Amino acid sequence: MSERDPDAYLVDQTGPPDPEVARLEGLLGRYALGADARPAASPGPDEAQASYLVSPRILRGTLAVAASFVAAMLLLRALRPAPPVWSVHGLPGVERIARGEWLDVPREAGLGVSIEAGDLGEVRLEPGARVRLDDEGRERHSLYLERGAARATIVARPREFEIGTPAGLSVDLGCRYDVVVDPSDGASTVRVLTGMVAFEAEGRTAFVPAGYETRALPGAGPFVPVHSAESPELVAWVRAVEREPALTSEQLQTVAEVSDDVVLYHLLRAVSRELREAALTRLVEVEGAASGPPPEGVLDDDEAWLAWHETVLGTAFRRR
Amino acid sequence: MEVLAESASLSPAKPANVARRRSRAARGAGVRPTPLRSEPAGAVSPDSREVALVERARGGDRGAFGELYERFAPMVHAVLLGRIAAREARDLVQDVFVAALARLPQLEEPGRFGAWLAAIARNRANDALRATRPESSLDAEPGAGSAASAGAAASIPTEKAEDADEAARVLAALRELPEAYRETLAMRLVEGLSGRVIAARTGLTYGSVRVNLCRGMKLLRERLTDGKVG
Repeated sequence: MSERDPDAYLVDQTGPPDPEVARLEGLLGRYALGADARPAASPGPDEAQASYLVSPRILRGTLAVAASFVAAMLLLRALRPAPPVWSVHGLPGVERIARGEWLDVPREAGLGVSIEAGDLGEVRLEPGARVRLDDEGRERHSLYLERGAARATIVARPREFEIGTPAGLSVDLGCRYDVVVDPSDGASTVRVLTGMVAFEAEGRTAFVPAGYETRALPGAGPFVPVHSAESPELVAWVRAVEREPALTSEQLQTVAEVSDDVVLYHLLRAVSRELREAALTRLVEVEGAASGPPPEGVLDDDEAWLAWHETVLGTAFRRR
Repeated sequence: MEVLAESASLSPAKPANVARRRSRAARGAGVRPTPLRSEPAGAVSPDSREVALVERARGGDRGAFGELYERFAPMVHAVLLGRIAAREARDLVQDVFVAALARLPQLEEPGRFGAWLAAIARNRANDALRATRPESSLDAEPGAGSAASAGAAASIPTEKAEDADEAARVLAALRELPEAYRETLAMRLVEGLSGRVIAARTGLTYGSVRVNLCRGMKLLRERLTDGKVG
């Protein structure tokens, strides 16, 4: 019979949680690099274990880390000379891609095909991917991904680089992310590894922070982003309610169980007015704010509301 | 899709509650941790990927530098937080990496990147401390009962304000521990790094990390119990 190590949780985070260690983790976690900079209550260990959905404050935490990352990347970029052209690597016989040209990555190609996007970073292309360079000059640089998968690692100022797809435009806000286009229907998935992407189409914008993903269909715009490891139950609920004008009381009540402020934020643009109001109430709760803007502001999309959201969620610097 | 398969492994950690859910599932499935006593006494060497990243970063690879930032930023932040106020610590993380970037060609052993980076962080924190004015001392940490926090506390539920005060008290106690304990405990309790990850990032032996955590935790408990803070 093996002897249980009493320090297993403290040292390796294994075994039953030590209540005192867990309490201190809960208290001190607010100071973590990826956590909210402002003081806020962390769930106790019991509460956290019983929690069903995503932790609150993830968006602000992500933004804090992303902002530092992007700032460091920009400094790094300033220290290096900029490559003069968009060059292609890993594809024999193809050394560069010019504006308006298409690049087809053969299915038998290796995994090392990439485009060096000027001095902005790199875009890796999967076998089978097809892209066109739509570089529009110094202010805006873009690729159009018609099909296949691409991973962008971009060291650019927010909104300086974007990847278009049949279903929308993923605008880089300083990050690393994947874009995948299904060749059968043009459905596009954006999954963010670091930083944040704004996925825009049909008048809708999904802000996708690190760890989250969203999907869009041509003509339909992006769906509410969800964490890549989110429970299927929550994803199914979000998809069922976000564009539904008439919701059941049961569907509305579920809002009270959502703790993911990324989801709640995007539900403020849901079709159902009742859902928008419920999401606002819940967002104020999980943010720990004393009060939010009047619901009318949310519904009218007015400036006061936008100012409040930028203050609370800290996305002001990311807006165009 | 290879890109997506890789992205799953590179995705940032799921928030804590989900991680705990997985942890419980793993225990339920009979997954047991490696017995600690079988751990070799030597240092946990940095993985080959980290060494490769350092080499690539030295060659000017921006993606590699970005990955190093992601991997080491929590460790750097913990070192800073053990010395200077939380807000300054956040700001200084970036400075530490910029300084490291400039000096990267001087790093002789890529495998010692973590220890080297921690030393830069300590120096930067000391510089900041020397430049710190009295009114922005550590005692003014948000939630430590300062006048600034009193106004904020008035607008948030009492329970949260009490938590913030308690957190500030614990952080103050942690900062009074000997350096080795303070830094290791900050990495564990603030940043949520496991002992093995701390060893890999700092270049300490796993055994040293374990000792630092256990003894540091004992001291921290005593200080909190006795109220010997500040």
